[in-house]
Amino acid sequence: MKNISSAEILEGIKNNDRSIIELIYNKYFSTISKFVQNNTGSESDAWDVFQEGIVIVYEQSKTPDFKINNTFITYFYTVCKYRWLKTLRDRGIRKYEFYDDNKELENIGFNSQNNQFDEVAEKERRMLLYKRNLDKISKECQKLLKLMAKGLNVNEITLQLNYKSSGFTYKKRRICKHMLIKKIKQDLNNNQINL
Amino acid sequence: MKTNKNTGDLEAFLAGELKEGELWEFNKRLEADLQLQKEVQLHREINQAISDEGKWALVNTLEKLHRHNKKSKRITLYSWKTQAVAASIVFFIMVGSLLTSNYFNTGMSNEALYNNYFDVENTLLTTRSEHSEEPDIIQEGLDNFADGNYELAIQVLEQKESNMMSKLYIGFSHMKLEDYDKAIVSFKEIIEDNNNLFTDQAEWNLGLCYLVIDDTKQAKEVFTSIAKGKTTYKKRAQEILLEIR
Repeated sequence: MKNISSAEILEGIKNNDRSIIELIYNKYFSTISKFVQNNTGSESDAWDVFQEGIVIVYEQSKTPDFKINNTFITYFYTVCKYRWLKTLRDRGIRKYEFYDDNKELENIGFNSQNNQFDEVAEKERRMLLYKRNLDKISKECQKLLKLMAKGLNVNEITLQLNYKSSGFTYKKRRICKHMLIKKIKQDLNNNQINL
Repeated sequence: MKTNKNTGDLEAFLAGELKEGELWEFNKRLEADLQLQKEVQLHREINQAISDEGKWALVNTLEKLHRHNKKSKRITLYSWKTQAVAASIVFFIMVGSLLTSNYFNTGMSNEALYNNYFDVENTLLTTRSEHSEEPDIIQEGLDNFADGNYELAIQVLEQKESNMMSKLYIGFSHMKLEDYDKAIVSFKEIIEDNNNLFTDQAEWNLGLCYLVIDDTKQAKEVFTSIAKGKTTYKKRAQEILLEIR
């Protein structure tokens, strides 16, 4: 990691560069894990925080002109720290945190006045939950829903997936989406996550 | 099945497939129905999530790495089971030999001596004021150290590992984390470099590390060498030598 700048790491995350992701995981997961576990979290909490932290970084890396002012680990550690503090608050372990005029959050590119970080973190948590549930449905449904989300119309999907008619595609789409939504709602409920 | 039908309507709405009349009716329902508004939001978010292939490729890479890491940890753990049996035997032999010695009878333990003499806070202030021109990474590492984020300090400072001040604080951080073997490695490297301002501090703390891990022989050797020298640690080394049993 010695000669890799924060900008290069950001670029690696944005482009899913395996060597960069591997370096980040090997070098920093234990640091984040220790922080979470030293603050009443479990190993599985630590993994959630790490994963969500990376996804938050990925989203930030797509923002034009975004740059890290510190080293990558200081920035990433702060992201994960505030992600974990939010979880602790949600679990009622910490009643509140003063976010107003929080330099640490502003240093990592978030406005501390309007809970911007919490909103972003919560959205990314939901996104990961959607993804987890998408992985649970059949490969065929996954393929269909991906094509649909890409903006292909029913006729195009029918052709691409070699279905017998567009009527069949409509029906299949409805069933697949219904299955996915059912699983997602159950998971949202179990984890007490609101939209 | 109603939900299934609703899902179909929603999908048609989101895909822009509703005809004029159907769209008007749907929009009217949407305006009045909070639950439906939430459903639309959920569907939109899910579609957004599904279409973000870059993000999922990244998450898949991470998951693979994590699974692989957990698997290798399990393998290591199994081989540790046999090692643990051997370690327990060694442990009981050591306890036995300690009990037959006078270790528990008189004077301060090595750990207590270590706690009496380990005082990195003073060193921190001195070092920082002398090196305020150091690059940002080192300053950031020192800030993390001062905030008590020792793991993070190590991570940051390792990026400037060839810098001896960086190495010194990596050593201090390991001491704070009670990872003395790693601290010893850092301090030895500073001493071996022999071309920096931190060898005195490194030697003194190397001695303390040997002391706390109960390698009294090595600790005495280091402190004796300091006591014979002319550094600021001379007096402290003479004192501690009188206290070590």
